[in-house]
Amino acid sequence: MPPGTLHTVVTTKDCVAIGGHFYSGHQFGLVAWARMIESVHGNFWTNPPNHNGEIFLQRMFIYAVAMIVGFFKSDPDIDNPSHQNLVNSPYPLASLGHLAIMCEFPENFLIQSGVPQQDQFYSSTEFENAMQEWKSFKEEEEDRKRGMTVELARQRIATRYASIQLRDHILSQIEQEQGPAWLCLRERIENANVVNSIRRSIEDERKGLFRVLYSNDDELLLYLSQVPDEEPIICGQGHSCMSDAMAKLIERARVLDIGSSKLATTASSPSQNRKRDHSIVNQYPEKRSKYP
Amino acid sequence: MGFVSHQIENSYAVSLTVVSSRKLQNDMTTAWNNTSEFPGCIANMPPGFLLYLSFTTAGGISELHTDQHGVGTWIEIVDGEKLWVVPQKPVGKPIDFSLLQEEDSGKKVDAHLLQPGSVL
Repeated sequence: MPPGTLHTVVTTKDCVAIGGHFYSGHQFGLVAWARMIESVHGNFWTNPPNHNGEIFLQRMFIYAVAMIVGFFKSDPDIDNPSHQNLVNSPYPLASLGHLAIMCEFPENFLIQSGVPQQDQFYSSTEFENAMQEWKSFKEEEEDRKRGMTVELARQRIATRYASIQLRDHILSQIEQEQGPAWLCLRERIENANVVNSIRRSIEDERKGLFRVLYSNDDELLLYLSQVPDEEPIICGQGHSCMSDAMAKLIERARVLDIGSSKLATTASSPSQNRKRDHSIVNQYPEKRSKYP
Repeated sequence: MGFVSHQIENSYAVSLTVVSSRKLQNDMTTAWNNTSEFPGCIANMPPGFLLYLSFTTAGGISELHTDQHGVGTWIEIVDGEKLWVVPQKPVGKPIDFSLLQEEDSGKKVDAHLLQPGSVL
């Protein structure tokens, strides 16, 4: 099952089963989408917590940055400039952008427990202070207070280091690159937080580049990104929990005064607002199929 | 639960699992193995995430939910049966979340009866 798939299970006979969880490098957009929903609905919405997911996301991010920046000295062509490029990313760039956001701002994806509360956190000075503290490399001390292992704290710092490496690398090379996906990735990393990522997702969707909200369907993601002239698909909006979650996410953006009216109309009536900017899409037609 | 130990020792079922899990978790394990010696990176992979073993008695119901942390999930039945229900998803269209709320509305869900050897 892809990330965020709703399901219910009935055991009809005594059953023994083996299973597992995984992250695919092509689906971090869906992972971010699912985790944003989780951050609102917490354990109302999901299985019992498994705290190891973040560790794997961090490692995949560190690995991606290592591939891009060229940490692997065993590469015989490490001095070749073409080997020190985002092209070396093991994951699609749109997906990598979401992974970067999740690793850069892990606090924004923490799962809330209990009854969903009025979410004023993102508009408070507490949020600003928390972000500032996080940027000051205080994870290790805080994690110890929370009883997390020192190892995890160290890996978080390593993740932060990788994030800085990626950001510097992109900013130094971005002007040499072309294509809307590159620009979107740059903007996502420069302005990375949940609110901006929501706004960007909607704007990208309207441009026909990505589709993140309203769908956990990777096939649809691919479909919309490659067929710009197709009529927009109307999404189901019947599930009250999902509607509440979307309203909550939009409210966050509204509190911060980020295009609130545009966000609200786009979210409540996706079919009316998903007119794509074909001038942008057609400007780089050869690039589109590479960044679903 | 005598049948449990019998089936777990079934090497065929276990080998199937190993193959399918390696395919799905390739991105994760590749990233982990290639960064295990990096400064700050945890050396030993934490247990309980990549693989789990599920024992469920008949009649158990897991209500509508998603799996936490945005993970993808796979499951393989060793013995017994599970009915796995997801909202019907036509190709190229998103999930209609209203499907599980409305009874007798004519809308449908996908129900997969998983039996020994089934992998979802």
